[in-house]
Amino acid sequence: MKRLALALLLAGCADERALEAPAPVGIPGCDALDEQPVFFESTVPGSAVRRDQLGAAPQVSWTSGAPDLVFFAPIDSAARVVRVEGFDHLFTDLDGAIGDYRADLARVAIDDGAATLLVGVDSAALCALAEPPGRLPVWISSSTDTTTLWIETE
Amino acid sequence: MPPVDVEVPAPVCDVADPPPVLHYPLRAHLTSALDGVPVDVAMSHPGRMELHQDATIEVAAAPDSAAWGPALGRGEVFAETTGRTNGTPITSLLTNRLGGVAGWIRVDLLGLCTDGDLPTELTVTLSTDDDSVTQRILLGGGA
Repeated sequence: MKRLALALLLAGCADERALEAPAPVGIPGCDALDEQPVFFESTVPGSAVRRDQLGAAPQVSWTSGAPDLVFFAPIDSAARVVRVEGFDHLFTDLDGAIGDYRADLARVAIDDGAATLLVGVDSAALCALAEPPGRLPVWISSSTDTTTLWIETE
Repeated sequence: MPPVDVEVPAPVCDVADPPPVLHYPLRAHLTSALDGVPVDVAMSHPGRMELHQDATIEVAAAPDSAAWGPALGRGEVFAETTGRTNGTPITSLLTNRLGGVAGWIRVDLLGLCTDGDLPTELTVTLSTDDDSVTQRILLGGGA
């Protein structure tokens, strides 16, 4: 019988089509955060995702590892964005309309060579914790791989 | 190839403000790309961990607004989970045409809290007829 070797293809594996672990994203510490959620863009290049053999458009999924603290929104939902000095890719002051729906699962098609969405962190909820975690996981998945995007508080 | 551990922050076990249910995207790949191979999935805490497919995870309806409408109209998914399910958990997955399997591990964190000592490690074992691999989910990895 042909032996089937099970392999969890996660961050750092050698398969050229495995998702690579993205660099951690830093957000300010609680002494620098206000009550508003902070957002940043998360992008996965289409080249990192296996093509479905049937030719269907591949998709990338994001899952919050802290559903009460981290959520997602469409990239075009941002009515106004402001870059915060000193933190790459960090935006705030988004349209409040997205704040009433906390998507903790998202699946986005690869368009123009990449899949992108906004990742939001509920600053108020995070900083209300007695011991806020120093980092929060977001799992990024294709149909066969999962990797972790870490959000780290400064 | 050894499995890679998954880390999540330790839940805050406060009954008045219970931790949300956790959904972990289980994605695995058979190095032999065979379609339709059954893969059994066993968990360390079966009373508090379940394997689900997309269709049995309950989500709240997305608002019909300018912020969400365009993305949902494109067929994208932005789902707010309710913590409930509307179907029976499963115990195995079938490989797809890419030799991969995909499912969701649902973890009842509040249930783990009320069981007594909160575990620091959960495990998920995937098995075929002649091989198996175990992945660990470490609670407290976000500290």
